[in-house]
Amino acid sequence: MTGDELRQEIASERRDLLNHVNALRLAVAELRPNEMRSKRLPSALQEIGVIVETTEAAANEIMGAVEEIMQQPSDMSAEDYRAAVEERCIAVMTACSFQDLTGQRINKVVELLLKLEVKLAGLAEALGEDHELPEHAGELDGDGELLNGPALPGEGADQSEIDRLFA
Amino acid sequence: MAVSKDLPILIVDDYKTMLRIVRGLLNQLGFSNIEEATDGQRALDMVTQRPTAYGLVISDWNMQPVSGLDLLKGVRANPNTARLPFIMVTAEARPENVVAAKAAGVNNYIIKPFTAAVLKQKLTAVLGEL
Repeated sequence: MTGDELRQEIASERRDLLNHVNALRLAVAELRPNEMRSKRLPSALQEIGVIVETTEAAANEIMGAVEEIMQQPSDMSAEDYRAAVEERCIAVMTACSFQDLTGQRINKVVELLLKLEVKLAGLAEALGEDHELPEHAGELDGDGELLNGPALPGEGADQSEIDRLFA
Repeated sequence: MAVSKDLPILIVDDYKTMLRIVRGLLNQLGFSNIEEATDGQRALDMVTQRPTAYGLVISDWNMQPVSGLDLLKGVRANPNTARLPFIMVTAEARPENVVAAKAAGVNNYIIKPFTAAVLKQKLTAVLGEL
């Protein structure tokens, strides 16, 4: 190999190395580690915390209603007993709405994990690891941006605030 | 004049538990003529095919691929169903959601989780005395 050829080989290797480093930097930047650490992961953890609280509150509400049914005095009239049981049954029924709300919160966490998986796959690819890219979770646009699921405590409007808009 | 308890009501939610809850509460209020759809597209088809069949739609928002807001817009865009009373029952509690739903013509808006009393109150507000 001549001196020129050697210099060309080194320049080519250098370009390849720079491209590789740039690709890695892009893949790491794509992960948005700061945003992930300061915003997305804490938000996901908060969602999971609210799921635990919501489930516990619903279980307590259901248990409370059942205990109240069981504690009805035995000398009640059939009519009063029926009314008391119906009232508690409605409480049990509405408490079961936790399944919808926790389901939506779990979906939000799952979406975050899927997006994270896509970004980690991009990083793995940049590192040269043999990794099949998972399907990218679709980004929402238009009205889809309004789909946020249940708000975290203190974030959304409450029923009375909404009622004022319809008054 | 009190609302007829025969009023046909279409309830729409992709969570079957929620459909059961809303149906149960409506039953408790005396309504029994209730049909269900588990997604916005199915509901829109039902309303479009039978535009005079329903007296009220109670719909969730967060459904794929056709959301409750899309359903509402579809209902309002059809001259045969444009005035159909429509209540959104949803966990989407951000002010921008309520504003968007109101702009699209929703008659009332209930935040999940809700109580039987809130549902009754909103039905009264939209339909009249129950």
